[in-house]
Amino acid sequence: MVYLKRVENELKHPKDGRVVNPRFLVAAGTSPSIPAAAEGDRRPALVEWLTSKENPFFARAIVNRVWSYFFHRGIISPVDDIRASNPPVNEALLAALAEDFEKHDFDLQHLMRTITNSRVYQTTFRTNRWNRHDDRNFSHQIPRRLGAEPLADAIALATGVRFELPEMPEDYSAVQVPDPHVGKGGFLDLFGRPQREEPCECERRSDVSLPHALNLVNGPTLADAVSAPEGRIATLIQQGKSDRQLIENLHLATLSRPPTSQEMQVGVDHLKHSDSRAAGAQDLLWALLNSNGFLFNR
Amino acid sequence: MLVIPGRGGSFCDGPTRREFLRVGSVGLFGLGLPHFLAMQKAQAASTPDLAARYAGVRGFGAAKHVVLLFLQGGPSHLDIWDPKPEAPSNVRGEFNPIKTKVPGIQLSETMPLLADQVDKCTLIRSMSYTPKGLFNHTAAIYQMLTGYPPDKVAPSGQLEPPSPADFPTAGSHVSKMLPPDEPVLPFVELTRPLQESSVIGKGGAAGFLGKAYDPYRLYQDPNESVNLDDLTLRKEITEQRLKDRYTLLKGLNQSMPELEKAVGKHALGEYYEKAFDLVLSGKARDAFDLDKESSQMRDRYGRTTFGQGALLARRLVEAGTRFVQLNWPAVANGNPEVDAWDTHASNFKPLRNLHCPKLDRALSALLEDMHQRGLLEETLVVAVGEFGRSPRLGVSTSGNTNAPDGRDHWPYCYTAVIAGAGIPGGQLYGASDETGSAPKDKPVHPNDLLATVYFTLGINPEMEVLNHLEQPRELVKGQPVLDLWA
Repeated sequence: MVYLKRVENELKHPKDGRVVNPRFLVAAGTSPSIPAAAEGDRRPALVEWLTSKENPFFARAIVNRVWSYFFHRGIISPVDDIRASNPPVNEALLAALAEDFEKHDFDLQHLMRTITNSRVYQTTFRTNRWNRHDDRNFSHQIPRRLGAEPLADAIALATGVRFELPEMPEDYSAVQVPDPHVGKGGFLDLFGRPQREEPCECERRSDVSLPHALNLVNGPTLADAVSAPEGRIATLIQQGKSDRQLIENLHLATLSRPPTSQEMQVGVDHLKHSDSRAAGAQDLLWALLNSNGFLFNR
Repeated sequence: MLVIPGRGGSFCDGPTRREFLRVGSVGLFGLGLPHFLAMQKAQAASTPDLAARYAGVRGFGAAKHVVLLFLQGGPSHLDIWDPKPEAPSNVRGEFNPIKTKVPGIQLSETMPLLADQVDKCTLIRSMSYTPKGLFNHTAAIYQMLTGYPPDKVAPSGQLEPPSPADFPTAGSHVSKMLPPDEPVLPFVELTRPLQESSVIGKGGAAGFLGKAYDPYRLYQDPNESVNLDDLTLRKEITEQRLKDRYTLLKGLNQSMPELEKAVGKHALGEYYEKAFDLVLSGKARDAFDLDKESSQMRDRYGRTTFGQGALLARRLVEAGTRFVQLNWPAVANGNPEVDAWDTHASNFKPLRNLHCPKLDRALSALLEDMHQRGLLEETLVVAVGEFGRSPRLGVSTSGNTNAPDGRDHWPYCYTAVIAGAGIPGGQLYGASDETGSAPKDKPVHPNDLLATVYFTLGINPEMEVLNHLEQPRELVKGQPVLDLWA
């Protein structure tokens, strides 16, 4: 349903009451003209200009925003506070990305490919004596807590148990949820899913605090997934895997790497001393899911 | 770029950003950065913390806990705390004043039990502010609890629902700045949310501090039984098994030491430790268990939602919770027989029969009980609503319609009750005029009351906090009422 209500709402000059025609925030003569109110709807003209190559703000704002999804901050930070007095930390980088983005017809996939293939994105979080104090020039990665939806999906993937999404099709993952009303007030909201009440990136939170720890330690999401009868551990045991295979599988599922020899030893010892192999493996999976290695993107 | 050393997140030590800018402009005339740093050092030496501004001032840091009885709806100050027997009948109303334990202080006859405990509290009878524009509950609640007027109003004239950009409610600031010393919940909000029609929880959330600092919300009736799943160990997990899991987890984190160091600033390890403490110690869970109280004690607070909520507040403070906010458990729904303070439709009969007996019993029991346990010395207790009610009966001050014996909203003059934290009891602070319409003496703005709360906990009310866009904001633009301790 489209509801259109036209209201005469021209800006009048306060002194003589003349109608002041709107224009874009660029130097006169460099932007398309805007039709007078009587000539019809002005919004198409606005939209056309907003996403056109003549608009000097669009490409910079988008590449900065997308960049911030892959790092701990934007090249301009906060990403919703772009102004002359809040300069980018690296103007050359921002300008080059914006130019390339424009040249490729605002292709977001191309932009993401460029960023993720860069040496900057692939730097380690480990620091050396020259960059350990740097927190804004992208000389090393700074670990970020997984966002609410990726965290829910990562837990589902690692445990082999679907993350419950009321009213959503069976095969939906949390990142596909179209609307913040799905599962409102639950795990996703606690871990900082935006409510779409503000047009601000800052609505998404990825901090950590007591309620998060409490939820992961004693909340139902993790506990149910770890011990589910149709989950990863139950399946592995049914397949007759050995203790060592079990432990290796759990490490790969959570940390994407095999256990170190010491971690393997700790796992083997724990399984041996547990009431059952299943219980021991559940404890290990629980600990892996709560570890820094799982919770942080780096 | 120049970065002022010190803790990230707030300019709580050394010169403030404003002072820095001032110094920065001085720099144009030759006094540059070295001078600034020298000045900062000098200031740091004499005042290690901005809080030192109040160091040694009586009452500063006197409280470890706060119990806020938030009487949402706006109780009628004339009919409870500030009777005006000499006023014309269309102001005076139906109730007579009664004497209290303290000569010279009268209360309305609706508060007979509190009359015996007046020696433990101070009545601020000159609460006052003038709202800009909007005159409804949510705007006033937001003002009272965040210290800022709301800036966004929906086209309906109602406030917008809570937003992540909102100013934080007082308890959120407090629980962030002063995490509790014990394994308990830092900030608990009891029995029901703040509400005006469809706008729920405005002014009662952590806003730009992030959800992590929201209150633990127990919106259940403590007069019935209370369900606490997230604080209760799951039945398949024994204590020993949870401890074993924690050992495994610590081992895993230690096997990735560089990562542990890199995420150190999140203090996740500390939060986990607290979470384990909360679940394992059972202290937080026990604090909610009213069955541990004798039935005489429960009767003394009153077998009502508010009464048992007040008892719960005392138990939580006793366990170490920093900030407990007990909201009045009813909001207006058009029915004059409901015990909401918003008495447009009928003021006297409901106050006499419904509201005041519950408030009187709960507040008097809380003051007496906390005093007897020595808790009042280290706890600040505040009872206040978002405004008072119009002295004249049956007139409209907010655009609402009022019955002939109804009272409308009145933020220009009302009363707050404040007790504990070394504030000498049995006092009046400030006074209202002959009709209770305006302060006659020593007006106290809601921001001053908030500033007093922060001050009492040892937090400088003038410190700056950073909002979601990392812009500095004053914690509250108010002055603590230092004369309360005089």
